[in-house]
Amino acid sequence: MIDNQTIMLAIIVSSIATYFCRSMGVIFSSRLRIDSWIFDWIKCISIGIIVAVISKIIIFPEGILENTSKISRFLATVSLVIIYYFFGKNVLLSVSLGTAIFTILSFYNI
Amino acid sequence: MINFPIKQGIKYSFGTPALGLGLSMFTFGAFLKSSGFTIWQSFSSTFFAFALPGQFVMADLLIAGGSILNIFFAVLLTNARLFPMTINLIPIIQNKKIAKWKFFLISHLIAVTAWINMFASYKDIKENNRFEYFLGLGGSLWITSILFTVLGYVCSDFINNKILLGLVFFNPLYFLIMTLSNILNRKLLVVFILSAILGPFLNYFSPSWGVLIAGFISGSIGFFYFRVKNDR
Repeated sequence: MIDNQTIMLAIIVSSIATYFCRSMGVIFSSRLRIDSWIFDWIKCISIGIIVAVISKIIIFPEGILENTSKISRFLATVSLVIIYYFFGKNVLLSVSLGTAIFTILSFYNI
Repeated sequence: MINFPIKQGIKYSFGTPALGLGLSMFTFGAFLKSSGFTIWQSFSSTFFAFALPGQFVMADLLIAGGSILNIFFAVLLTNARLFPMTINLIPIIQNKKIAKWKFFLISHLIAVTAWINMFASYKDIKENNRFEYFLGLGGSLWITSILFTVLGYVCSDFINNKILLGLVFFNPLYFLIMTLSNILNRKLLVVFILSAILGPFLNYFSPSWGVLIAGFISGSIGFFYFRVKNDR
């Protein structure tokens, strides 16, 4: 069991690390204009990082998802995209069904 | 007093955005309980260090016996995406009438769900109202996250572990669809495809830096390729 002091210290340092990224972003954004090319470039990088994070979670997850099978994650993701486009880009329906498929596959250890 | 733009933001967050983030936070709360955290510590984690991937990294490293310095740098790298995301979002909500320090406060609400939904909706909001609108949108997602973390902590004993596991996957699937729905031109489509391939590939060689490098390379290739192409 981890002691309380260590947990609190971990929460404090992770709060500082998280806020550091945001506050640096505020400082660096001060002279940026929405219609500038740098704004557009940084948007491409932001979307690139978000997609990289998502694909990493699906293909090489860490933590609790590590114990699930690649096939269940892959099938749920493919179903999600198919359902999304098939049902007129319905976000809630596609994500709910995708999650349900993943849950059922994981439940039966597939 | 909650004004109209704040209410608009809150209204936009209700439904799928709040549900997606809420379910993931619910599972995170349950996970913290099984890892030996107290309810107050679970609350504090989402209250102060609000950004789920970093929160998971913190808890995972603690369980694995990582040092505090380890945790600091791992969370810093995991949440480094918040840096370009904040650079992008602040100019959208920029308003000369609002004091600079308020942007430092509101930046705490910037996370993937709020960011994606802000980009999906900000053009429908008047420029002068966007700060309050984001306050409503991001603020309600933050409060929802805190509530669901605590709820997950409290309810963890009553829910099957495998169902909890399924709920964790709601959020990446939601992020994926929301990102796909924001791909409105060929440039972003190139970034999306490149990054989806490069992300796991580079992560294999460098688990700490892979995702950031993949995002930077694919974002830059997509951007500069179309910039040069359009200049011709």
